[in-house]
Formats: sequence, structure tokens, C-alpha cells
Amino acid sequence: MNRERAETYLRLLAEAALRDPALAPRSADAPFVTAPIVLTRAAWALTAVGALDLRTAEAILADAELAVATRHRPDEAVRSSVGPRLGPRRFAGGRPLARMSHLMPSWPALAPAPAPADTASPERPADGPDRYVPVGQMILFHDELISGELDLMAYAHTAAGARLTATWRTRDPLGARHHGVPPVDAFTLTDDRGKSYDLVFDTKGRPESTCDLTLRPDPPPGIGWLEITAPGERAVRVDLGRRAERPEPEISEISLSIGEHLLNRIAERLLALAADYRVDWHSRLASNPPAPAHRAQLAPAHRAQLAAPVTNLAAGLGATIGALEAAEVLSPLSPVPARLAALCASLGIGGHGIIAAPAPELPEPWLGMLTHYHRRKPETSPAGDGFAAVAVALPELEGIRLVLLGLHTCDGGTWMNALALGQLPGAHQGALGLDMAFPLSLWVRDGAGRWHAARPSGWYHEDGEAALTLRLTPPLTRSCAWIEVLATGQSAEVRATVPLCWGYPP
Amino acid sequence: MNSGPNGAWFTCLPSLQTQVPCGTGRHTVRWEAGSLELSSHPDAEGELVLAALGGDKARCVDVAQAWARHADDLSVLAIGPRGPADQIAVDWDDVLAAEQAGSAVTGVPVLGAGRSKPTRLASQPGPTLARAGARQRQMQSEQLKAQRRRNDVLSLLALGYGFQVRLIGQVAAAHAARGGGEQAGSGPALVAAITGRLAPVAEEWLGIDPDQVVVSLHSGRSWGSSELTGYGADRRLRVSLPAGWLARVWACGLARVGRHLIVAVEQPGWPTARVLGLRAPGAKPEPLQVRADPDGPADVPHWEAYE
Repeated sequence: MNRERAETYLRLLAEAALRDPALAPRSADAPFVTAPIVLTRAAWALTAVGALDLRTAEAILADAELAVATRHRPDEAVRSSVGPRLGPRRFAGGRPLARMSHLMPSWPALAPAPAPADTASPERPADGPDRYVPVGQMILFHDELISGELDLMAYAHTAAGARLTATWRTRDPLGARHHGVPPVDAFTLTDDRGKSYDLVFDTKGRPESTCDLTLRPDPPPGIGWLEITAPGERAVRVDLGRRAERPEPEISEISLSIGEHLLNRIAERLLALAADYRVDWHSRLASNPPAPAHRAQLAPAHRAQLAAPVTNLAAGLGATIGALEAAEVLSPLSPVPARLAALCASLGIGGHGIIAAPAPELPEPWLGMLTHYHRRKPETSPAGDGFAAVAVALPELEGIRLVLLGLHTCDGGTWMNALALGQLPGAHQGALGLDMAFPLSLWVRDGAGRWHAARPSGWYHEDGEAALTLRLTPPLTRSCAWIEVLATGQSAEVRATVPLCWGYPP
Repeated sequence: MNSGPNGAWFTCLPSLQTQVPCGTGRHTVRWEAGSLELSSHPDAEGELVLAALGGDKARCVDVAQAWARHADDLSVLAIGPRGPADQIAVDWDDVLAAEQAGSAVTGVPVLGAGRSKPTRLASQPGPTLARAGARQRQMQSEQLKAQRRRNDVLSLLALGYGFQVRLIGQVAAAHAARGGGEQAGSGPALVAAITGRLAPVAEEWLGIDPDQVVVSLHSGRSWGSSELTGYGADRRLRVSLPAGWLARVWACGLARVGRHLIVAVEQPGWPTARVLGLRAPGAKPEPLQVRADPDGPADVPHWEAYE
């Protein structure tokens, strides 16, 4: 990695942007002048791969913003209507200049501070009593105020404690959907040794209606079952001796540079965004790409059809690639930029600035999603609400051991609940919706052969573990019997076939 | 910092003055031989003591302090002008407006924007709130620092082009004296600063696209090197220059004299000097006697070869 060249590239990009006559703001009453998008994207990429520290990147962007602002005076008419000058807007008086920390990965200030001594968990050994069991059982409950069910997907016991991962739904006495939480403090819980536990309800890192129920006190490692009794219901026994039958995960060595890994993540985000925004691929794309002249004619219509976030994400990709090459974290011979160019071409996205010619072939998951959408499959109805028992620990990748603890479909979406064990940076959401603090690329292939991108939609990091939820795009369309999980780091990829044991609400 | 083997970097620059709104009037601020002079404030230090005790600080004094604070600030190179055609539109009304906007700011960006959940029974709000408070205080502090820095820079830009160029020279000379970027980690900023200022000069000199100018920092005792490579879109003007070129040549208005790209000053002076100029990329630099045009602009001299 060449940090000096990385910084030089960014500064030269700022110089080139300042010379660009198109830089002038289109409207004098724009809220404030900002650095050109190619600059912010390149800065973000260099920070994401660790070639540039956040403070340097912010300083360069702040200087670039001020340089642009000092060269563009607002129109006289606008100036006179607001007072002596549009200084507050023009020079961003009301906001921090080029504040990027909220967009950047691995920003130390965002890392969770150590818990105070009186509340901290004691130092735990690296090798805890790790135990993961698929559950797949429903706990019904009702009292005079609330009723509902708690769908237990998995049991996990790690160094940080034992918990059940569950989804829940509640109703009020009239049967209407209720947003209250299950009354777990009224549940009784005993193990096969007669020991009682309390359940602590926690939604940190989980989407709505999904929770972790931590057992207090921490149970011994070898308990055989748990018996859970909810208010107004009979006891339900949860067998913890159950073992999921599944093939061993396959590990393959690969060699991706950190720049390639970043670009792959951007590509996945592009595919997921295009799916989220229901880009009308079919009407724009023929089996053969249109000739350049034809493309130019169609370009405005294409752009209108594409959702802005998709085109925004692709903006500045050329500068991002240039920055990564300058930092020597992306080889000029890498095939990934050409694949990105092909992906943009397939999505009808222009203005990305990638110089490489589109590659003739794309990775299987990308192609799978593109093919799926080109056939107008986005209109396919998602699977109904449900949950599947899953408990699979994947081999360690990039210093992280990912444990899948249940999959559920709800309100048209599909989520995979997981635990990430290892050294995770404290940052959460990065720029462009890319959570670069999570170092893996994850794909899921369902039983029908369709590919789904699995991206972190929320996580909470505590005690060396992160409660992590992965959102599948597109969502599952049926309750398949198994899925294949493909997790990719820089040096290896893991393929694991995961049987799904579905449970359904009544 | 200001002296080198060929004298101080600013020897080719005449003195310059401007008017600054100060109190109820306008005062003269003068640049002379690398320093700012405040003729209306003979006891600037005494005024600073009074300001520290609660009195008003004169804007002239404020400007002189800002000049000193930013005399080696690389941001000056990133923000300041790239040449006479690069007009910076900042005046004292802008400075006043930005200062007022800054002082009116009472809030900071809303924290977190995290997921809201109906309950988090297991959460520990104490440490979380403490972290949020600490982070908010840190953000406020950083924002205030950024506002002060921005107001400083705007004040210095409001002094006008001649002062802007002299401050750039001051900053470049300071970094050249420290090894020109290699030791101080300022290499990328200096490469960009020279590129941004050499590129428009090279465009006038050769008609080359400014984006095709590639600069590297030269650290030897010679002036550096130049070559023209490639054709069409691959054409590049590759120039290696020391950081001091920005101060001794560009800031003094000497970057191009006639058909020559000036790469070094052999014998500085004003209104006459002896410089080294390239007639073409790759050529051996020629010594040139130059003199400042007496009818040229007052802020930065316009030079002509006279032998």
C-alpha cells in the first residue's frame, strides 16, 4: 500500500476538479457548496482500504469545499434578498465542513467505549463454551393485555453468554397487531438440572420483531433442555441436544486485494440497490447491448428510469478505481474494474467514469441476480411470514467467525440472524450503504438456484461479539429446504449448505 | 525560513498594501519583505493584552495573527489562487457574514440517527448517554475550530490577490526549508500545489492540456528536470521542481517570462533579477535577465526579459 501516492492522487483530483468549468454551482440558492462527488468517493475509498486516515481525508475535502466556495459568488439578486451576502450558505457556516466521519469505516471515535468497571463483563477466554443449536419452536403467550407468539430460531452459548434468538409478534385483546414486546419477565425457564433462569430481552443489532433472549444467570455448558412456560400457556421443552445434519463447509483459497474486495462490495451494493428500487431492467435492456449512438439516444430515458440512489452509487467509480490503483491496493491488471463496467452497462448506468472496457463475463452471483431481474422476476411475490431454525458456525474468515442463528421472512423481507465473533471495528453504516467495517462479502443461493445478496442491516458489538442481522436482497420467494451460503474474504471463501427447518405461525 | 543561498524568497517582490475595515474606519495593512506591518496599530501586543482582558480586538491585529497562524499551513496552497486568472471572490462583507453565521450556530448535527426500538430492556443507558455526550462535545469543539480556521482563511483571502500570493510563497518557503516535503510528510500537498499552479502556465507555454502536466518534487541541488512524452491523449509534460519554486518563482510572478518557463532564480532582486528559463521541455535552461514592468499590476509584478 502506498499512502503517499494515495494522498497525492486525492489532492491532484481536487486540483483537476477545481479546473473543471462544470464545477460552478447550478443554482445560486443551493444550500451550500460541496466538494465534487468524484473527490468524496475517492476519499471514501482510500479511507475504507486504510490508505488514507480520516483526518487527512476530511482536511483535503474541507479545503476543496472552501476552494470551490471562494470561487463562486452567488447571483446579485439572491444576495440582495437575503442580506449583505450569502456567507452563511456559501461558506457553510451552519455545518461542519466536509464532515466525513459518519460516512467512514473504522472511525475510532465511533468505536464503543469500554464499559465502566462496575457493569463490565469479566475478561473472558478466547475459547468459550461455544454451542449452537437450531431450535424451531414456537412459544405462545397471552395475558389480559397482550397475546402472541415467540418463534425460537436458535440457541447460542458463547463466552458472552447464552441466548435464544427469536422473532415475535403480539396482538392486543381485540386481535389487532400490537407493537409491544413479549412479557418475557413473566416467563419461567428451567433446565434439565432443575436450575431456573430469567430471560433478558434485547433487540440490539436486530431488525424489528427480532430479539435475543439472554439467559441469566449463565447456564452451565452441557444442559440438555430448557423448559419455557409463558403466561397462560403450557410449558414447552426446547431440546438442546439436537444437532443439525449438514455437510461440512468447503473452504477455498482465493487472493483478492483489498481494492478488489471493496469494488466487489460496491458491485453487490449496486445490485441490491437496483433490486430495492425496482429498476425496470426489462424495458431498457435487449439481449445485445445497443450501439453507442443508440445508447446515447436512450441515455436520458434510462437515467429517468433508474432510481437516483443507483446512479449516485455509480458516480465517481472511475475516480475510486484510480485512487485504489494509486494507493497500490488494486492492480492495473485486475479484472474487477472491467466487471464493474459490465455491471453498470447491464444496469444502463452511465457517468461512472470507468475506463476499462466491460468484461465479457461476470461472477455467478452477479449474473444470477441480473438474469433474475432481466426476466422481470422482481414482481414475484416474496415468501410469507415465517421462520427457520438454523445454527451453523462458519469457519473463520478475515478474523471473524460467523454463526448463522436463524432465518426469518417478515413483511416481504428476509433476514438472516447471525453472531459475528472476533475483532470487529466499531463503525456501523458506511458511505453509500456499504458497511466496510464488516469485512466479508456474503451471498445466499436458495434451493431454486437464485442468488441473494446478504448485507448487514444492523449490528451491535459488545464483548467481542456482534449481534448481526443480514438482509437478503431479493427476499426469498418460497420456503426452500436449504440454502447455500457463500462468504468471501480477501484470502478465502467458504461455501456452506445450510438446511432450513421451517416453523410457521398458526 | 526566508533566506536561502540566493537570498530571501521574496526578494523579487515589491512591498504591497491594502485597506482593511477596522473599528469604525479602514486601516492600512502593509506587506514588506515577508512581514505584515500594521501602521495604525503601533502597539499591537498591548492591544492583544487588552483584548485578552475583555476588550475588542482590532481586525487588523486579527488579520496579522491569522497570517502568522497560517504561515506554514498547507491548506493555504489548496485554497489560494492558482494564477492571476483564478479569481477568488471573497471580500470583507463575506468575512463578516461568515463570522456572524459562525457565532449564530448553537447546535451541532443530530447525533446517532440510530435505530429506534420500543424497548431495550437489557441496555445500559448510562454509559451510552455518556458516550453520546462526549461525542457531542467533541463535535462542537471540532466545529468551533473549523469555523475559526475558515474565518482566518477568508480574512487572509479578503486581503486580495497580491497578499494571497505572498502568503502562498511564505508557506511554500517554510516547507522548502524543512526539506521540501520528504521529511515533513508534506510531499503530496506540495506536488498538488505545484501541479495546480504549473499546469495553467504550461498550457500557455506549450498549449498542453493542464491535466497532462505531471509534477514530482525535486530534492537535489539542481533546478530539477523536464520532458515531454507521448502523443495525443498520452502526451505528458513531466516536470520535477523543488518546493521552493512555488515561493521563489511562481509567487514572485516569474513562472513564465516571454517564451520561457522559469525554473529557478539565480540572482533575485526587484525590479531586476537573473533567472533560469526553459525554452522547451528537455532543453537546457538559459540564464535570463528580467525586469519588472513598471506599468504592470501592483500586486504581483509582470516581468520581461531585457537581454
